[in-house]
Amino acid sequence: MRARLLLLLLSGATVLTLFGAISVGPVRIGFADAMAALFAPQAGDMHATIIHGLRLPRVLLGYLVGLSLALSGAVLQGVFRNALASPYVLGIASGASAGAAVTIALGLTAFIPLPLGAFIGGTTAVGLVYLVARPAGGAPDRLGLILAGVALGTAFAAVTSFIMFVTAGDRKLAEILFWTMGSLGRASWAHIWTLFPVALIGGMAMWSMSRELNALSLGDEGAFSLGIRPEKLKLLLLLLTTVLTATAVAFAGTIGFVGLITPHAMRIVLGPDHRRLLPASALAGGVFLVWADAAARTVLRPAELPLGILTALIGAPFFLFLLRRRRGGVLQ
Amino acid sequence: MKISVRGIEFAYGDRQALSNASLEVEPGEVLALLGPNGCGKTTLLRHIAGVLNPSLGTVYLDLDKLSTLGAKELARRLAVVEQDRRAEFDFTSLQLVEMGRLPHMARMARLGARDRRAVVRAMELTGVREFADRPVSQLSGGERQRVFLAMALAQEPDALLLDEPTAHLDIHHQLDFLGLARARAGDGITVVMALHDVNMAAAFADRLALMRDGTVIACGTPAQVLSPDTVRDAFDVDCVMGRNPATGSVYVHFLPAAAPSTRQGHVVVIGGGGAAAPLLPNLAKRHHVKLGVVAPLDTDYEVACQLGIPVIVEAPFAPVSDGPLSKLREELQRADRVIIAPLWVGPGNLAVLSMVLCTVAPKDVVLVEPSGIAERDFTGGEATRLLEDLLHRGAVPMTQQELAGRQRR
Repeated sequence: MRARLLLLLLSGATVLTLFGAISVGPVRIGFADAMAALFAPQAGDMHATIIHGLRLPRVLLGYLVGLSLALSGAVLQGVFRNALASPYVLGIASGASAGAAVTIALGLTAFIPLPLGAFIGGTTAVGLVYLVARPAGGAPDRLGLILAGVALGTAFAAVTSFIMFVTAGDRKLAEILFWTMGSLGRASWAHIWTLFPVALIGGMAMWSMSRELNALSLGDEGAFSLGIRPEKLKLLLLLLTTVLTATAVAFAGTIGFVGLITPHAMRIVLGPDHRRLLPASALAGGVFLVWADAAARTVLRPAELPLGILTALIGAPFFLFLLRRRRGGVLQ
Repeated sequence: MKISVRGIEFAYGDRQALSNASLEVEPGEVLALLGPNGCGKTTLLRHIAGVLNPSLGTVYLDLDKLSTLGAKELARRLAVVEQDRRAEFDFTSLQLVEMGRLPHMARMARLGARDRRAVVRAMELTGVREFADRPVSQLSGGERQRVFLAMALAQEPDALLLDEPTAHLDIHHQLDFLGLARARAGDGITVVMALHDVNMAAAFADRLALMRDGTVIACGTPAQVLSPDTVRDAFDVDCVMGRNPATGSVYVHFLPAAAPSTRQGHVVVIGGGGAAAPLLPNLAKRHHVKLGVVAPLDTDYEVACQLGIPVIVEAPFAPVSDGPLSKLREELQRADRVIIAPLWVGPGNLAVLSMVLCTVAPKDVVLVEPSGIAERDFTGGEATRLLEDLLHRGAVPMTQQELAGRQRR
């Protein structure tokens, strides 16, 4: 009952958010004018150009990125049986950053679009983590994966730092820095049409496994005794979340805390059942990121704050609050 | 469902965990796996559950090789309850029990009427319906194990595998849980459980399989399997067999461990007719004890055998003859102390007392409860005179309590 109500509320919030957020930005456009520009654009109208060319893609991409990160976070928290896991546990963020930095520094952007460079970096990092963590002839355990993720993440971060050090004083440095702090400023329709199908198909696939994900919280042997092959299920879910996260990160940079906080907060409200937790996290993540971006665009108007800074600023205190409220301490 | 384990070999790395382990469990029977830590109980159970694959040998469920069954099919036939299973997130009891229906459901399907019935029935059988909506983390250990049993029953399995399911429960919940499991066997479900507690196993299982070093060393009814020899073989502890006076089930009384390094001095106990039995466990802890001269079937003889004490034997109801007497002399000559239990003395065993008198220095003799000798003397006063003579020449009189106290110190 409570779950249905919350999902309904979140759906309503989604609609309000998508329409409401496009009337927010450095140029003041009233809600009524924004709606007019959206639904009945006049040729040569500056408002229509801003709405259709800048704000709508940005809001939609922001929603999809928030949704993707929160969904991946919810799934990975289930896979790792740890409510403190984020979509970036397996080094995808530092991998993507390194990929983006290499692409920019070597001037490859003419041949490889920046998002593709980041996507390759992110997926490569996860692939390496998986291979490194895997014992001979078996599936890696969760601790091995997390430790390998930390180790390789640090290595990839070092690559990025090195490139930033070498390019110091260059225009490229600003570009890399801007990318690593996360931003929806480059949003385009092409990005949306790439991320949308990935999020839709990936999200439905993950949702279809929510009962199995529930059973995974009993541990591998517990899940096995309920007829689940845990290694297969986990590998499949890792693949799905990796592609979804890497695609989102490719377009928006590494935006922190959405994927960690949103599922966690939803779990507090709804309980751990992934059948409700996954859709609720997805919707809430989208709504949260769109408003965070709206704030990023307006707080220092006309300058724009990097989105990653804002989510971290909101997310970190909330995260600490959640940590303190956990019974039995941080590590169990 | 019949479970057959045939000649399984398995090693964790270099450590051989199972070697040629075999076991047959009949449909609807409760079988308990017993054995010390590391004997392979859990490993064997994990093979039956299909979690581990043997390097050699086969597990059959009815006529099917277990390795040929898919995970879902396996989960419809077998359900597992472990000692310490926990759900990571805060699921309610009902949500957990509903997970038991997973092996029967297609992906993304909703719970059907049949599934709901199975869930309700499982919760009623285990008495957990009242806390259906409570988070499992808020339940007591005993309640939680019952919820996990309900989850297993919701799978509607042909067999239940229980891996020390009562390890962390108090006695009330142990009896409660094992009683519930036992009752399911009445419905035709085969139950295989690894247990720590020998007496719980004897009380709740139809048959026991005793394991040691990765193999089954004895299998049968509790009365067939449990004996001081097999228990010492498996657990390396001494015990005395008895029965639960109310239920009649076999009951094992364990004896305090004897630390071999602390045993010192050779002690010969002169007993018979049960007079020495209460003294022996304490003495055996501290000293190298020999008992003489008693007949088989004598209580003293049985207790001594169970404690592993060597006995000098004479045929029942016969006077002590020269063979045993000369053996006794050898032992007495080697002994540091001789303890004469408050035994009945008749013409048959008077010779034993004379042998003590003429072989051992009187100060090394302890007379237990010497004051009662008059009533125990069936030799017309000769035995009394003998013992009084011993006392007079320096033997040490002691009550049973004094002797026990001295042992403790």
